[in-house]
Amino acid sequence: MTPTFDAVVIGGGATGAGVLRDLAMRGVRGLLVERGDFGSGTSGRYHGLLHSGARYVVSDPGSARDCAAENGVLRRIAPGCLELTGGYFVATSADPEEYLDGFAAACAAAGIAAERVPLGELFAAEPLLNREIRAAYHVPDAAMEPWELIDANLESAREHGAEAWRYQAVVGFARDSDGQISAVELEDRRSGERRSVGCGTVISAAGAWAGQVAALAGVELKMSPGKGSMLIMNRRVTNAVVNRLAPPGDGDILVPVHTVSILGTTDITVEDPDDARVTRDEVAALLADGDRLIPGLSGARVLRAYAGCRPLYEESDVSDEPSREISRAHHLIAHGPRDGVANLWSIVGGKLTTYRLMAQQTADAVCASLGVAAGCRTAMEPLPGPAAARPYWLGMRLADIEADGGGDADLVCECELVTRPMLHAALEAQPDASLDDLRRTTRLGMGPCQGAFCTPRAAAMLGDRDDGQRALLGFLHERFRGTRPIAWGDQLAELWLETGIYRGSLAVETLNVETPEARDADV
Amino acid sequence: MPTYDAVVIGAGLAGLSAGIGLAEAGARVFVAGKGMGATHWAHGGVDVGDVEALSRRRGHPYARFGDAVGPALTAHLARLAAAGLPYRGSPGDTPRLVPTAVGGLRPAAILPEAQAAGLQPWAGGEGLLMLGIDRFKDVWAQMAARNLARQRWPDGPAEVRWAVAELPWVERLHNLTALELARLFDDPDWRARALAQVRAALPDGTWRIGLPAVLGLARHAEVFAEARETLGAPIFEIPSLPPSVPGIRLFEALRERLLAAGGRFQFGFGVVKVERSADHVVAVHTQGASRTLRLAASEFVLATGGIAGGGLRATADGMISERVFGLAVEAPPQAEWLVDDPLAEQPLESAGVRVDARLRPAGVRNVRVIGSMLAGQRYLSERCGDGVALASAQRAVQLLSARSAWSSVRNVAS
Amino acid sequence: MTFRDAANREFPPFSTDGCIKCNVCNTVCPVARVTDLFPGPKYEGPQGQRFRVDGEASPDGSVDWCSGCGICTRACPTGVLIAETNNRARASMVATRGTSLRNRLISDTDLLIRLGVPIAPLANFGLRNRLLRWIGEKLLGVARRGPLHLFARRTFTSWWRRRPAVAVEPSAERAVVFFHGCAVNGFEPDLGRDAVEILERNGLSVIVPKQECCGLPFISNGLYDQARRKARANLAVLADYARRGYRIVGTSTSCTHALKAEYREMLDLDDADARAVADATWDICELLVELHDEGRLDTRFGPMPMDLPYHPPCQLKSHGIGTPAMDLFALVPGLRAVDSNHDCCGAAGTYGLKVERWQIAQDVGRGLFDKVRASGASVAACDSETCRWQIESSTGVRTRHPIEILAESYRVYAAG
Repeated sequence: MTPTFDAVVIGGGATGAGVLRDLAMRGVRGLLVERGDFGSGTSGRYHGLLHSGARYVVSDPGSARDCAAENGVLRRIAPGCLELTGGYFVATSADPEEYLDGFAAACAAAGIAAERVPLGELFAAEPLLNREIRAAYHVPDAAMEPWELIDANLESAREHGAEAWRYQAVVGFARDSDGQISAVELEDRRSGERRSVGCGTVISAAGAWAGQVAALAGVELKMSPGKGSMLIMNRRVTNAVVNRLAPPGDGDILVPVHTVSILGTTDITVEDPDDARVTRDEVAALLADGDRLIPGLSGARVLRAYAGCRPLYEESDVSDEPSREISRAHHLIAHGPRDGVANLWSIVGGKLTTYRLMAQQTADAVCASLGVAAGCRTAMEPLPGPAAARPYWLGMRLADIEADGGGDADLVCECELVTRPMLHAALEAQPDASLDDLRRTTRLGMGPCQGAFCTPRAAAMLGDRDDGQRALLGFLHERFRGTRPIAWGDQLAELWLETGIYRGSLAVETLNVETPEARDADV
Repeated sequence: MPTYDAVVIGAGLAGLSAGIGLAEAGARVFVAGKGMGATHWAHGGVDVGDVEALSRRRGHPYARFGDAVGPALTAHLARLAAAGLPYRGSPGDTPRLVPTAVGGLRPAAILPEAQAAGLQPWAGGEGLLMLGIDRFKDVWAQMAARNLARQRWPDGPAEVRWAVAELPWVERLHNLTALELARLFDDPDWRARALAQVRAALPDGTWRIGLPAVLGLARHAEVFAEARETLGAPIFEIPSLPPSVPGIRLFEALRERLLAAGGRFQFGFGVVKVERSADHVVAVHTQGASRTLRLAASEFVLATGGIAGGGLRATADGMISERVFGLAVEAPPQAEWLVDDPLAEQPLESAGVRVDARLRPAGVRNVRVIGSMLAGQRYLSERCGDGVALASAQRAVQLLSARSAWSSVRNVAS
Repeated sequence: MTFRDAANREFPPFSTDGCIKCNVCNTVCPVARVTDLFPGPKYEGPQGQRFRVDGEASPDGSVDWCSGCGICTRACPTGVLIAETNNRARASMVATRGTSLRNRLISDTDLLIRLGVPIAPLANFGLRNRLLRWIGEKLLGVARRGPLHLFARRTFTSWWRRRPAVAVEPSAERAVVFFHGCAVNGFEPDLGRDAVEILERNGLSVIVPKQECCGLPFISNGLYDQARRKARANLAVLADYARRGYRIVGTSTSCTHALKAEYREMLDLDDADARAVADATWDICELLVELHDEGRLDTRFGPMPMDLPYHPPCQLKSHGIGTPAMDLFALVPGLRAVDSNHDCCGAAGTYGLKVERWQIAQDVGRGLFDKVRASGASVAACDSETCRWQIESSTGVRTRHPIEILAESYRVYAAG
């Protein structure tokens, strides 16, 4: 029996989840399929910044206006996914004078509340900022938690009758005689089982992978994945988001996200969106630029390097522009008129901040094609669950533990204060979760020791769900990949302690089962 | 401060052993540790590796002093036995496999007595029971048992099972690590109740019981004997994540021995300044709250460990520096430090300081380098770290004692 | 927070970058050793710090169980200033939520001395009276069995003022500034007189400028504003001497450690004055060992044939100067001083005075008390006052400052 859905959404990032929710709220019965864990692609590997829009006011005023509007919407519908840090745009001595001159007017034109901040006030609020900064504006930037946002969208979609499956890779499409897609062929990434799902319409929200999805339908869609590498600093170095007052470049934003600060980002056009290796040159470039914002930053501890691929789309389908020059705006491509596949759509480009708007525009078009008259309600109706709660504050977890009597007995991940009950709850919600999936829900293993202490503790909690080795080895490999590019100083000492434990005392290398997850795990 | 015969920098296995050896030889010795370290992280056994094979390997520290491993080990084990911390095994024993906390199999030849019952061979019909403790997060009996049952394990147990015991009080504790449990076991009343509860949790059968390494700290020998008797079966401790209770016992035994032999010991302050005269070190200064502490000596022993211990520090540009004397460090180029597999041998393991036959680095005549700072060993892959530490410490003691009759000039007051 | 380099590891919160989570700090914490109420230095320090917001109260109230002994900081193999980070977290809590009258009162030793010394007989009657102590415990929360020293009948400074004044201030090479601290001034003036005698005997004139409490009790109780007022008052006087090359000498390893380190690490007083004073400050035994190294110490010590259990206090160990008292004891004929090799006596300044902490302090010091009692000695020695009082009240063994032992030895020699 082949299940059939009105719409199949491909890609479990923020955009896909947003599309699924929007369609579901309009009565379209949808299924979302994701080849890995939800939020394991670009959405889960971004810098955590909810844009005010000011970053694009000069280069891309349209995107800037979209960001500004969506920033307001998300504060309303998903406060629990946000930390309202505010943000600064700061002009260092290296930044162009003209950019500074035009900035305020451009912000005003885009409807962004940018306020000039006296330097004394700036340095009082952010004492580590470079004293050579000569001008600063405050903007309504914020930090955003992508995984909670995605979960909340999926939860809302499910409440409205949709389904979402993960670890389902699309491996092909069945076409009917007039070229329309009649079914989506899926392969379970863990069991290898294949299945087919009937569909009315197909929406590819596969982001940087949209070209690969389109190719399965025989359609050419030229994506230009822009790899952005980021560094995770061990602690918060600023309280608010900090952006350079300059055209977007490397190492020019610093975002306080949970317990850490994220320094980003590089931009390198890559062929393969799965190529997320961070090179030493990128690391060096990021740190050099970081030092311009925060003197000494390169001597502070770096926990990890990671990269995500921007889902950049070249409208002209020609590719000699450097990726930063390619528009950050989003594009909805109707493959009917373009390629003759009437029920296939691709939504590409865009930013996490504008995911909801992208979803709305996609759903509008899809609904029009399906003859569904209902309008979009996603901007008005708050997201369910923790997303609806009060905004995040840094001390939350520690305060919760203290309220329960304190102590470390139940702390599985000591760095990020992940307790046994938190992991039990996460496992109840997703019984087949790997440790990396649990990480995305709980922040397991995301602190200074990068899983050195929590990996076997959490793996043991899986009990009969795991074979005893897969989770353990998979997570060790996964965490190591992010440590390798920044293995010096404190983090190398940490890695060496970890290596001593795992090889010296635990002889983990003598566990002798092949681990597909270890090979496939995301960085 | 008096002028010392020797200042030992570093308070891990190598530094403490050198300090003890020198003090016992009559030297005035000061051991300066930046903090505590490696002993508290490791499993407490003595890994010497394949001494014969490694001694033949060019560039391996054993090529310089492999012959010292046996005598050094004998002296070390005798010291520990005298301190009430007996070990099993002798130099030259072939390593046998012992189960680990995750269900791996670790080759070991010399183990604390409390760990020794985990070694091969197992008698026919003898099973292994992996015992967990309810709520204690660093024991993973089910996972370990499952992995052990799959191991290719010659002369291994007939059967592997697991059980979990609830211990008194434990459900009420806000803090629960190996350390808290070990301290609870030191208390005779609690211990009696706890062991009775453990016994009640045992399934029928003939078992050797592997349990977490928490059987007491100060009163470990007493706890171990009582546990073995009460449980009526061979038992063995399995070390897990740091803090390592077997490692703490080892450290305390060595520290006591050092003090008893008349050595001075300070921890908390690293060396921040070195006074030199030509190719000699005259004094080192340890950091202080405002001024440094000057430690003058005729000989210096560098035992600050490798990358984990902090003796070596790598920077983003791929430089690795030795942090006390700025000695030249031998290491692979940065691009080759690490391989893809975190559990494989890492080329960076071999990084360290190269020394001559008298343990001296290039350019300094009165510094001896010992322990995991020595270049050319891969202490994890070769499991030779403790052997290198003990043998190099002993060699350093011999070299220094031969050179000097410890007639150091004491300060004479006017 | 004053401006700091992001990589400055001398700033306690930034030093947490060094933490590799290895748990060594937890293994040495004497408080966590005896009570489940304190989750240990790692949890509170490098871990808790990740969840603290500048200018807000730290969410972990449990950090207040830290006694501040500093052993964690010394044991840390990677240089994390754990105890200092925790102390600052406590201060942020006190700054935003306030603290008890008891804590404010027992921190203000200048005030206690001003009130207590003039009425010493009466005050001491109160301190000795079980009923009054019981009332003090119920009303204020000051442990009735807590180690409180009796008030002196006359302060050290009033004794000092009656000494013949020196017309010309001696040069920096031949004089030191004596930082007497509250213990000498209000409780143990005899120790101050011994210190003066020893310094003078070794060719150093003594200058006693006007000074206030070093502020350490306020620091330990998280009352940083009050501590800063004390610190600034002291720096204003002492910095001038320091810059002119005078050494500042104290008998209390607690006060001298505050001058050397805590003004900077806790109170963020990191200006030229603070640096100058820190660099000029000496523990008295440290100075005597230095004189000895220079061949300038009068070593004509008389024999003191006895066993002397000696406890180097936590504050002394935090100086990083070894155990200079042991070096000095070695110069006294017949004196067999034995290092206690015990981590902490438990008193930790005012910690052991608090009714809810008294038992913890006793449990922390138990091993030490057992050793002191088992030694059979009639006298023990220790460099910090509250530790001396704790050992003495818990063991009944008279516990003296090393300087008192040395002064006695000099007197024995003089008596022939």
